[in-house]
Amino acid sequence: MFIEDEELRQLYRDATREHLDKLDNGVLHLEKHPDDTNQLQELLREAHSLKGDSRMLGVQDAETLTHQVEELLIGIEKGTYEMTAALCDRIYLGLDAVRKVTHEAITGEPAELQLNQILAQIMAAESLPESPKSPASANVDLEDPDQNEDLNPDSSDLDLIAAGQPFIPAGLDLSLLDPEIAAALRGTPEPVAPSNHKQPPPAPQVPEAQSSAPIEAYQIDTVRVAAPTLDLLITHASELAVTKLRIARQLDDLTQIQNIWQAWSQENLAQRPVFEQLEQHVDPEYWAPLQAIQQLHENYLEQLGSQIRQLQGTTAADTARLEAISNELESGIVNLRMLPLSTLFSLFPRLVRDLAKEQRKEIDFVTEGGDTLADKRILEEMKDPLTHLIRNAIDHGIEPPAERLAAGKAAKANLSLRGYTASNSICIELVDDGRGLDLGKIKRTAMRRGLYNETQLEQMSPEQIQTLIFEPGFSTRTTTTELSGRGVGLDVVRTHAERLRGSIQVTSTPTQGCTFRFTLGTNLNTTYALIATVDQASYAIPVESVEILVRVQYHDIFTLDGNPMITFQEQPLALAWLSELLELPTTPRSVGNMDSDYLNCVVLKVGSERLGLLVDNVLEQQDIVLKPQSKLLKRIRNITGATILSNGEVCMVLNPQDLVLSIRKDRSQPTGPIEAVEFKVLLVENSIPIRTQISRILQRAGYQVTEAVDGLDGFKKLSLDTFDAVVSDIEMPNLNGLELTRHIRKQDEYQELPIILLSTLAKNEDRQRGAEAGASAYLSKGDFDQALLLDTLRRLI
Amino acid sequence: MPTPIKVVLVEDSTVALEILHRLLDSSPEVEVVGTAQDGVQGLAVIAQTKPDVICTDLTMPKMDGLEFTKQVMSKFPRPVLVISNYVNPSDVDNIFNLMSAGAVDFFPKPNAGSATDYEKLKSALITKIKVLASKAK
Repeated sequence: MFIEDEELRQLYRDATREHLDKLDNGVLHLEKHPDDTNQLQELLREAHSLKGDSRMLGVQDAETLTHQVEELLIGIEKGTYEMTAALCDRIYLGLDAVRKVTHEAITGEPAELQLNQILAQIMAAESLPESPKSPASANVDLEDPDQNEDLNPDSSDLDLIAAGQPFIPAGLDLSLLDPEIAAALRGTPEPVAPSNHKQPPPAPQVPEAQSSAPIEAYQIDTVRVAAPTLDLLITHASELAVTKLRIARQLDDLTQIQNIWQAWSQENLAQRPVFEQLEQHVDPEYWAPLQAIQQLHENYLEQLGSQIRQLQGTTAADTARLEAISNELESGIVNLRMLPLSTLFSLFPRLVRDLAKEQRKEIDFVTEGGDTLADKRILEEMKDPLTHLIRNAIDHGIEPPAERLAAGKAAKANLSLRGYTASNSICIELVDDGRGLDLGKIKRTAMRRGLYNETQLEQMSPEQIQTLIFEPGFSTRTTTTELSGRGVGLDVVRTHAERLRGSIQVTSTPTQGCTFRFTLGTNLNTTYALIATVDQASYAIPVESVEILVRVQYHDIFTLDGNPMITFQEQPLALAWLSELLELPTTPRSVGNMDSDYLNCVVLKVGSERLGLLVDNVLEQQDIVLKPQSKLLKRIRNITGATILSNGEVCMVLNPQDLVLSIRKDRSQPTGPIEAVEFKVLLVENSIPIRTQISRILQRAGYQVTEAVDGLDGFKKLSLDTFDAVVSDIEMPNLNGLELTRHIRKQDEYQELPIILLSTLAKNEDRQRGAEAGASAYLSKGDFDQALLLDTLRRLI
Repeated sequence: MPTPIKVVLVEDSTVALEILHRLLDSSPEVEVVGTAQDGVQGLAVIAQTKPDVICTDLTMPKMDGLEFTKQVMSKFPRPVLVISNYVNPSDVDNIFNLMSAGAVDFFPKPNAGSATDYEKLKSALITKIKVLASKAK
């Protein structure tokens, strides 16, 4: 019996070793303290767990053996058996056998155990007369020594036992023995039947023989460490790096001292001629003490000089050594956190299979480079983006088999997920051979979303246009299926990559497929940050979100809707004082009463949003180690955590995302071109109450609603106005929702008009039918959720 | 497809935990949102993950399944399914105690067997969980 599954095998190895060790020690303890019922309970639980594990993994022999051991323990609990050395031996016999059987299950090395023989030995002892104080039982103990002598096996016999051969000592008349034992010794099982024992069974000898057989050396190969412990270690190690920096700074201080000393010595030397001149004019009586003092000074100066040089030398050497050690320590700990990418990759084959099955697509999914090591944080944070991209690839990239065949491709699509290391980074690639990105569609969407106008798009290269899909608020999806995550766009995928100090690129060849490549930094623990001050306090701003530093002159500031703005790169840029955003208790500032002519402005860029952050001063850029906030605090607005600067000062690390958000919240919605337009929705529904209800929901959300009573009416009204979306019921007279959708899609100008179907039919076939008709989304009335409707609308328009 | 039923598994044996985890993971209708290896840990996990259904072992160190069930009922009442070798129909006492504590259903620990047995077992377990989840709503 060998456990095929590697993970289960290892779990079983660790678990059984633990259980068996506890059982061994527990029985030992129980032998000395037979009244310790707690210990007995503990042992019963251990035995039970061991039995359960073995049963679940099909290690039958271990299950059977443990069951027998358990029976013995239960017997002790009930008082059927007394805790004697002999009984303990029997239990040990069982445990040793379990150990061998599990060893086989774990390593595949045959245990070569005569199970029947051992079981018989355990059970034979068990079927002793019920009364624990019976003479027979006492005999076992009494006659032990004799039997040991009688049966003293020589080494060749031991080998036989080790090889699992039934051991029959010479001169032992089997017929005199208990039939069960005899049977066991002959190696043929016989049903165990209660019988009278004229002779005590030689069971106690067997454990001795067994124990002299070679036993696996005790060794702990792996230590399980909880991930938070490693995280803690890494924080400490990073702090060591900062301390190291500070010590390195002391070297600079020493150099300063050395400089002072040098200047001093030179000055001294320069004074010497003057001093010598003086000698000729001064009475030697006064001169002698003066000269002595001078000499003393020179000696001290000399000593000081050599001390400084020595200190400098040792400090330099120590710093170098400290640096080497702390780097090694840090990289060692970082490596501990490294896990193979396969840990992450193994999550996906099933997802792909299920999605492919559901969408009736044929996909050959391959993962490569699963043994590439990456920080556990990468594995954790890349799960969602990869899930998203894989879903996208299957939803939109990979064509149904018929379409693939028509395009001259194999019906079965290839989708591969690859990981590899490149110099200082880790790359993860997702490659499909589907239809690739549709540049025309991307352009149209970008225009519809108001991201760029036609002339801007004209000037862009295909690569630039492909990159547009990562812009916030962009999604080429006109179909919202259940599968593509709700409300998550590709911009979130990019944000994830950026959070890991990485980037994402997309390359696509129309009709040939599409490749997404994540390039992620390997050192995630230090962040490069800009240190700025407000009110004499330092704040760190992660450099990733700083676009540029500018100096702002007062007369450049203008107000828009009462908010200070400047013109930056020919666009209005909102300004905010950091002290205000952080709600620091300072006197409110107003433009115009400042001391200096310029304001220091840090331009933050998060996604496509920008904010000019006004600070008192910008000090420097340095590597910082971000320490998360205390667990007691759930979340602090605007602050990601804290760090210790190299001068020892505690410094808050700002959260640019929050800062940009808080300015939007503070100020009433800036009037962008998108918000100004009131979207028009055509609502087609024959039931008056439902129509009224949905109409109200939509109007309350700011949509302009035109109602139609059935499909035919809806189709007529559609041509009278330009609508941004259609929301329609399916079951309607005259023209039902599906037919209406098909009719609308036949017209070229409505190819991309979002159509949301609402229906009580919620089966997958119904959804499929809706999608085939050309609907963008299919919501069921059964679990109608107005937030979902509004959310879907917002996303589609 | 409705959102999967959130399940927390409480089981002291890592082996059994892994097997049950796999069993449930292979069904899209159920999602294991948390696991714990004793009752005390289990309560903490439940407080955090707010599952729809709890599956627990009976024999566990620190806090056994019985006490755990009682605590769940008083703190975060939710359907509890006891998965144990001691809740076969013959273990009347155990079942009675667990039911008085508030456990709703029982399931024997899965056994290594043929693939078809495994599928049967899996669908039986999933069905039970689905029934419990629907009752809770």
